[in-house]
Amino acid sequence: MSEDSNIILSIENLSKSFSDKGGNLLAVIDGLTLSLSQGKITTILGASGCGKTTLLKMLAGLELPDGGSVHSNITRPGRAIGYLQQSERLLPWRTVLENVALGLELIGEDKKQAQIKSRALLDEVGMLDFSSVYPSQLSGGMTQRVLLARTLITEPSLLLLDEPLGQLDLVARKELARTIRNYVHEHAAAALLVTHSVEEAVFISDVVFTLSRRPSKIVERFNLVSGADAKADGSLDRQSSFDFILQALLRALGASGGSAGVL
Amino acid sequence: MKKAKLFIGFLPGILFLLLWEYFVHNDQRLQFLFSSPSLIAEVAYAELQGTSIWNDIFITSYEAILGLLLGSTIGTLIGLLLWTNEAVAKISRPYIVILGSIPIFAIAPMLIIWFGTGLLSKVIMSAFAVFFVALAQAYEGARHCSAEYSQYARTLNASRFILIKKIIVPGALRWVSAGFKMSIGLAIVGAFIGEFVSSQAGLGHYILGAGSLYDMARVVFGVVLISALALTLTSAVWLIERWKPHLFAR
Repeated sequence: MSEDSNIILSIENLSKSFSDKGGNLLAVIDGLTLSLSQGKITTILGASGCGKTTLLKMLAGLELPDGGSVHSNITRPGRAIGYLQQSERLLPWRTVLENVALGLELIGEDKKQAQIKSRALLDEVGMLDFSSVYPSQLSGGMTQRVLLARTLITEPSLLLLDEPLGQLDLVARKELARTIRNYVHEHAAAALLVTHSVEEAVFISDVVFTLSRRPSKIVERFNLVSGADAKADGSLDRQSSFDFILQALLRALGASGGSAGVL
Repeated sequence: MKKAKLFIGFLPGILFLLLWEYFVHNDQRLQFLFSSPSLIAEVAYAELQGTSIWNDIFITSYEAILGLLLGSTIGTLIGLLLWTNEAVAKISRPYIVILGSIPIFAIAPMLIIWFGTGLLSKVIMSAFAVFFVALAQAYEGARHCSAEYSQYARTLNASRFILIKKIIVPGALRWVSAGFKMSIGLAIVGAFIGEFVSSQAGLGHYILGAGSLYDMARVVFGVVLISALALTLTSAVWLIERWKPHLFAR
């Protein structure tokens, strides 16, 4: 299958500005173009405050872009997108199981069925033993696992993930990265992840885009693969690409006059 | 260690009672004005042997609990309805502030004329006192839950009805229950004022009767019973809060 036929979502010349207190326009994103393919995890890597979260909000339908277009090949209304926000919170009056089932309940699925599916997903993220626990009793890493389960429960075709591995320890990070990877492959879904952490980007992604400082534009694209698959098509080996991408990000930020202090 | 802490906690109260008893013990004039702990204890012992005071306690509790439930329910419903329509909420805000600032004492005679001297007027006064707290808590709770938790529902294109049913109402109810402890005191004050203005029974009636006879020991005993009632109801909510903490917003 050609890459074009695998494309789930394509963004062309997307732009977004905000007005400051004095009414001056503050351009955040300027002419951003990229496409997301089935079975691939794409990461946008950029400094803090460069509009990464704004981009995800626009794709999730929570913000309107000022210009450009978004073409979607997803035909499952209601459960097309799974958006895991950075500041996402679980409902404190619902147990872990009920929180995960919420997504299905919100799209009208039967409560019992929703809980059966939720149990299976909680098992997958290693949180089944905590299904009757309330969110206030969970650690940050555990909460992140439950939030990921809640995002995946509706089986979305497009995952939008805002620094999903940020709060986790190394083992949990590995496990969750594997869960996301498995999900994307098994469901022929696409994932768009945004982060300021090169480590997180290299850890999980198939494709990494570096973003310039505000107003943000894509500067470079890197294809990442594991081990022997690398090099032949110009893609990078995941294990040894950290420094290479870090340098690229520094170049991207430096090109707009910034420093890499944000890393 | 725990017993010592408990003792230290009670110490100021014990000290106060001892000093009170000491200063009024041999002075009839001071006893008339302030009564004394020993006289109040005598009155309490005698009253609690009979049935009349238990009836008064029951009636005030009944009025306060009914008022609490009625005021909280109506306040919550209106608070949620106002959240669903921001324009109506804006228009009604000054009226709610004006109504909320009216002392219950000021409207008590009016309510007695409208609803009679029986149970209904007391329950309505109690409900009136609680209503505004519940309304404000429900409205703010709904606003908070909408801002904090509704984006997830929006990304799933959930209908407004399901959003309200699954997220807004349960979230707002946590806020209302968090305001319950404050509402208990208000509900008792509402019922008490109703009894004070016109009644045949209840702790307000008991205190008013004792006051008209200059029986300070009975007045203070009535006040102690009102406080005990408030403490009992607050403790009941506190126990529920400890048992099911997730039902109360923090």
